[in-house]
Amino acid sequence: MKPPQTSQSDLLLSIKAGRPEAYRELYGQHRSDFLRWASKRFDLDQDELTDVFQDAVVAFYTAIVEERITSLESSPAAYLFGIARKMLLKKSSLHKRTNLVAEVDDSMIEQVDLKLYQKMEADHQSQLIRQAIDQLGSSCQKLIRLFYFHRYSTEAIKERMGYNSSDVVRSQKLKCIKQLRKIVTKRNT
Amino acid sequence: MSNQPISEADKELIERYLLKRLKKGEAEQVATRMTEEAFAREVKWQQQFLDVVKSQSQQDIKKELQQMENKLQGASATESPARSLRPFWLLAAAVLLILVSLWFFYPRTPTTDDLFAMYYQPYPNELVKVERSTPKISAQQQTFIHYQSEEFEAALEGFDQWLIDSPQSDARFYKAITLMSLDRTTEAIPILESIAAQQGHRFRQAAKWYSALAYLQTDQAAKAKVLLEQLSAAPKGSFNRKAAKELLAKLMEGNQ
Repeated sequence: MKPPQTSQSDLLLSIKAGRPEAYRELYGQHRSDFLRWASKRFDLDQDELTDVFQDAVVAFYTAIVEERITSLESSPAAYLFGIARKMLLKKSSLHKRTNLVAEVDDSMIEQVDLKLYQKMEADHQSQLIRQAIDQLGSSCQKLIRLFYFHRYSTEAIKERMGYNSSDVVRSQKLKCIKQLRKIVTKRNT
Repeated sequence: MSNQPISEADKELIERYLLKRLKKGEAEQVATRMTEEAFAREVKWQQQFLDVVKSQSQQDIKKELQQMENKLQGASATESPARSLRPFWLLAAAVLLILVSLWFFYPRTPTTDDLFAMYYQPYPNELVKVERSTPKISAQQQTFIHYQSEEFEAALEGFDQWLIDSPQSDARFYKAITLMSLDRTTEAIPILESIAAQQGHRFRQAAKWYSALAYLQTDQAAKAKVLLEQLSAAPKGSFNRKAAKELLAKLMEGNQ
């Protein structure tokens, strides 16, 4: 059986337009189907499967916001199942390989980075940056995440965070980054 | 190689380069300037910054999905009491099996529990600046450290103590959110309703949003719709106006 096909609708557009709920919807809409699909193929318990599926959603969402995936050749479910399958194959030594290749097309997900949450502790400087971000106010932290990770436009951030104009968002972003650099420099000296 | 300091314009150019937002002709400019030590150093700094933001954001998403999963598992656990399999139940099980099969092959309308899990996330801390590196942390900061770390039991104790000292403070709103995060939604509702009724309260719109979610979780969809309609009709740029419209549309879809 192929992974269930759900409507592609305007997933990419809605993520670009600034909807953080998009990944929650991806998870909510495809979780049950994924668990049914994966539990027949991998000898892992539900907690392990949901853990992998969460990582797959994170990886898929990241690939979209980073524009590694710029158009969908298939349904979001096919991508999610493909990514999760790759992760599961690494994890499980008891998987059943039969028919897996026909179900998902690996070439679609070549651009997806499966290494998650790893770069943060890479070096001393990165740790300083992380600590400095933690020291910023919650508005700055939110703005930084929305702009630099979720890649929202200043217009989308204005809507999301209730600023008066995109110019205010831009100037607030500059202030946050200046403050961040100041904290890092102070910690470096 | 030049060692000139980097200008603000250079920093913005590098930012556009790393975010793949370069304008026409800027790619060549970046390629040429990469040989400059200061420029290359700034590229490295910004790349490190982006990597950290990426890791933190990915962890945030993972946490949200884990919370969503916990709520989904909690909901399914409370919905399946043990019963003996009398003939009626066998028949009911057969009907259910058919319905489940149909559900599997047709697009599924999310339940109110699904919608709650999709949309619920604790409101960010906007009350107290938390600096963990500060040598002396106040009780209020400690409460928000618990809140932000999702240690909601400890956060609730902190908010209760806080409200003994100042019963009408904005900590009421965060106490309600904490209660919702602990699945004590019925206790959160009266607090949220009271804030939502206060003209000019800084968390009034947010309280309406969370009340709507709380009603969804407690099977009061009609009440949720009223609030979502109010939020959707609020002026452009108002808190969660867009999300309220979407959620309302999903609820209406579920009613059809």
